[in-house]
Amino acid sequence: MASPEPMLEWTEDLSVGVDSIDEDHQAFFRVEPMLEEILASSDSARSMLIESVLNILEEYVEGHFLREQQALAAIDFPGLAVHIKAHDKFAEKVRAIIKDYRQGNLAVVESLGPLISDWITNHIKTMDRQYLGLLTNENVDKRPLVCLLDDPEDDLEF
Amino acid sequence: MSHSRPLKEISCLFICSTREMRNLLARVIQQVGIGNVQEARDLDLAKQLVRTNNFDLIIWAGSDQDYLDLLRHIRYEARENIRKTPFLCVTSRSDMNFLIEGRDAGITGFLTMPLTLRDTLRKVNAALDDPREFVLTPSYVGPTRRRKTLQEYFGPRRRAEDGPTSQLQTTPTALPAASEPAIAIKAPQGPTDRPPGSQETLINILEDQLLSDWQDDEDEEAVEANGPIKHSANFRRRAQVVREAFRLVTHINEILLDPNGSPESSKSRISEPFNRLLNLMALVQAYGKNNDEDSDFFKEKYKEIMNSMSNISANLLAGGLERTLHQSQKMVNDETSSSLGGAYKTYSKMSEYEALIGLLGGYPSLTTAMLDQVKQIWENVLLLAERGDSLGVLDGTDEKKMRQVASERLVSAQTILRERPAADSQNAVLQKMRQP
Repeated sequence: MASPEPMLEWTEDLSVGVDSIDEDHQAFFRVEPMLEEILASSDSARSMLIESVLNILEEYVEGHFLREQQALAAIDFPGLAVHIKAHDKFAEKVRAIIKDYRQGNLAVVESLGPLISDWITNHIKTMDRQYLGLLTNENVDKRPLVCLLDDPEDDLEF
Repeated sequence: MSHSRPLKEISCLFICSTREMRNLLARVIQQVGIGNVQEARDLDLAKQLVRTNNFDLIIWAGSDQDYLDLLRHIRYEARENIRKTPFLCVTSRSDMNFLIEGRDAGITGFLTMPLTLRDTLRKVNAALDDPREFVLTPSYVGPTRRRKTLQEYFGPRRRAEDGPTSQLQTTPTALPAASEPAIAIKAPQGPTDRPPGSQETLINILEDQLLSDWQDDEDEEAVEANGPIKHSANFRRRAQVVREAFRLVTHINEILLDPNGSPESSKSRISEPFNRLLNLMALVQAYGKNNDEDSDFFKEKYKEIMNSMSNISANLLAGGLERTLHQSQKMVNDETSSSLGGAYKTYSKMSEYEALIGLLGGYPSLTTAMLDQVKQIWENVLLLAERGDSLGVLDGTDEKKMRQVASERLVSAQTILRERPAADSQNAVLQKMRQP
């Protein structure tokens, strides 16, 4: 898959001054090159790799949004409701694309990477910048994103 | 190794020769919080690294079995410091031989594709926290494959956790009062003095057991050396595995036949029990190959489970064909706004079902009703392709191929439908279809 536009990347000017949130944002930016690499490959496990990226993307969305929202709620951020709405709208869009893919529309996954990079760039610049200086390394959960997700059920190794 | 340290302090050797998988896995490992990851693109480099470095965890990813050489090297030949290192295998494979060979080479655990961060974290923690005793015998080195202490085990106590005097214990100290084995499975003819147990105990074991009931070689040796009583305990344990496999078959069929379940929810609900069932089948198959007095019994049970698996496949196929026909028909009738690419969508879906049909024995093994559905779906693919509905999804060559495949399949289905004798009842065909 050839992308006509150069891929968007996380740069220092997109930093919100909170390490864990910056790391989450960088993870979103990595989805596009990862998907592009897999889509261009002829690996026999290609579909499994795509499915893995989609699973992980769903977890990024869930975990990162939770991290931000919990931190914003803790500081009584006035724009929290609007922020949550923006998160929900994007999460819904991502879920719809993934559902479409899983129902057989394989081509739709090609548009997913650029969509995420575009959205996260705009979201950081317009929404996340509003909490600049309010959220800090001290008042945001520092744990890896996966630790913020619901505790998985115990299962078996084999 | 005790996993009391944060994951960011854990050192991990990660081996993967495929670039795409390596890049993805590297991110996943980073995302679960492992701080110190050394990547190796091939097994030779990995061997060099384990000669001179200590790691808390080794993760290998791929679909070949070449990792077994590294795993055996680590378990049998490597330095003391690295020998017991937890070893995780990340793979898209779930076939029994692959799993069994890994297990017998001393693997700590498997992480199956597609990945999630949750699963990865859980498996990494489980590997680092693995409470199992590490077995060092001439025939096996690795975490013990026996995951549970059976209350009704009467063989020699040779685990370290059994205590210092247990090594000498070769006969049971006491046997419960005699009763019939409390399992529903009919036992083969053989010794009648199987160790009894209360039904409650067996049910409890069953409930707890699931997949963790791997038999280990140490027990196998004890069985051979200590006669019918140990043999009987062994049989009962294995019979529980069979029973659990049948319970899973029933459970999966219930999910498949649930009138309120959506295809998506069914898929996610089936995944875990289905994988567990595959693993239990591997055990039952292994029991059948033991060449002991019970092996014929387990061979028979394996066949029965295989039959049930065919039923599950048939049910999966039946539901899938019905949905695909319904959706493609809506596209043909212009009842849906999303018909662009409809020919390709339907074609892709049918490609999946063709694999399932192949497993069941091809078109001749389908019921007439299912074959008729197949025929109609292929007709719809051609109709949609004729309208140009594959536009934007396929290039000219692929579209030509799609039309060619659809035409060939349509002709095959039509031919079989024409030739199928009228007297060939649906039940008879269904029966044939469900043969493994």
